Amino acid sequence: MAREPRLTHITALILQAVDAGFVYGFSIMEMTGLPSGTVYPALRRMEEDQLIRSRWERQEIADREQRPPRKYYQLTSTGKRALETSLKRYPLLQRLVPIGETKS
Amino acid sequence: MMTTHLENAVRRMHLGLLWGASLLVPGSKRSEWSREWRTELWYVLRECFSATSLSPNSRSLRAATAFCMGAYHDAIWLRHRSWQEQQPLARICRSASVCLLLLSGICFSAWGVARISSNVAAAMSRIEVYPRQISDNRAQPCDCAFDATDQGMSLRTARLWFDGFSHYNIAQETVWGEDMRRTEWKVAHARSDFFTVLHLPMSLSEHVRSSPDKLPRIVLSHETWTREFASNPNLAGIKLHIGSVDAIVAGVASGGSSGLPGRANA
Repeated sequence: MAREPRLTHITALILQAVDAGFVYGFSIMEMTGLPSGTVYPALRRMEEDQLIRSRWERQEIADREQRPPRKYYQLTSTGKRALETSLKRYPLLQRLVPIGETKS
Repeated sequence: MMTTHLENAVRRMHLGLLWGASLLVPGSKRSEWSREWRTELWYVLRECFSATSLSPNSRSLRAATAFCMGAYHDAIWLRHRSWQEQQPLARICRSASVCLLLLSGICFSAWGVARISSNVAAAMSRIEVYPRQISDNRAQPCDCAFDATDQGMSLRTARLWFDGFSHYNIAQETVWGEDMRRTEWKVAHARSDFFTVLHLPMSLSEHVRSSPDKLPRIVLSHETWTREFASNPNLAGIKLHIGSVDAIVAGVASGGSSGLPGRANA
């Protein structure tokens, strides 16, 4: 059984960014303004808490665009519920990372 | 993409930083970890160079280096996490209620130990010097000797316990008596409950027990009793001068492996 996830401000911010379409580490860094030493450990902790899940991009897609494949993150159902809770706790989050804004 | 020597040098330097950080990551996660960070670095450097037309300024280089330094933070976090997973207690202690329960258990155990210790201390304080009587029909070299052989614990073993403690300190002393010339002895100074603590029975002759003076008691080693006093069976109660202190002979330790610890004469 997974332990109760900690909904810190950073967790909420990253959940919001992933939900908004910033789905890999560097784009989350750019969107939130958080340093890499904060974002990546937070992503791992959130994955352990089953708030997000990760998957590697298929090699042929990356090869076609002549770049290395990326590791993408997406919210789980638990993550979506946690995001709703965190938006109630931190209502200003929606202004920082508006839902609907996506980054390709 | 046009590749310059500068870009190659910058890329290699940052890959080196990531390689250094990867050494901190647990082996089972290193491959995946390195892949993700190297991939992300590729995109960071691409941003860095594309934004500055192949001549990155110090600010964008600093940003790329800061990105790589974050890898150390991530690696240390993973290492710390790995240690926690290896320690079951750390997993258990995540729950506050379990922590409180554990703490209560430790407190209860400590209280129990303290209570037992205080009982022992109280019991020891009530014990008189050498209270255990040896049956009268047992043949002893002296009527106040003690015997350790049937106790399952030799004084040689006890020496290991008491060396270095104030319970039992050996000193060189000058000893003389009424019919005894001055001699140098190794005298072990022990607490009055020394034999009781070791569960060694000791009986005192009526003469010693009824002695009105409160002089310290002395137990001779079997060898000293034989050599210096010719195995005199009526030695109990005789007064000896040990250094600047007077003491009364109370008994003789049994010989062999159960002699006094530290090869003491008394």
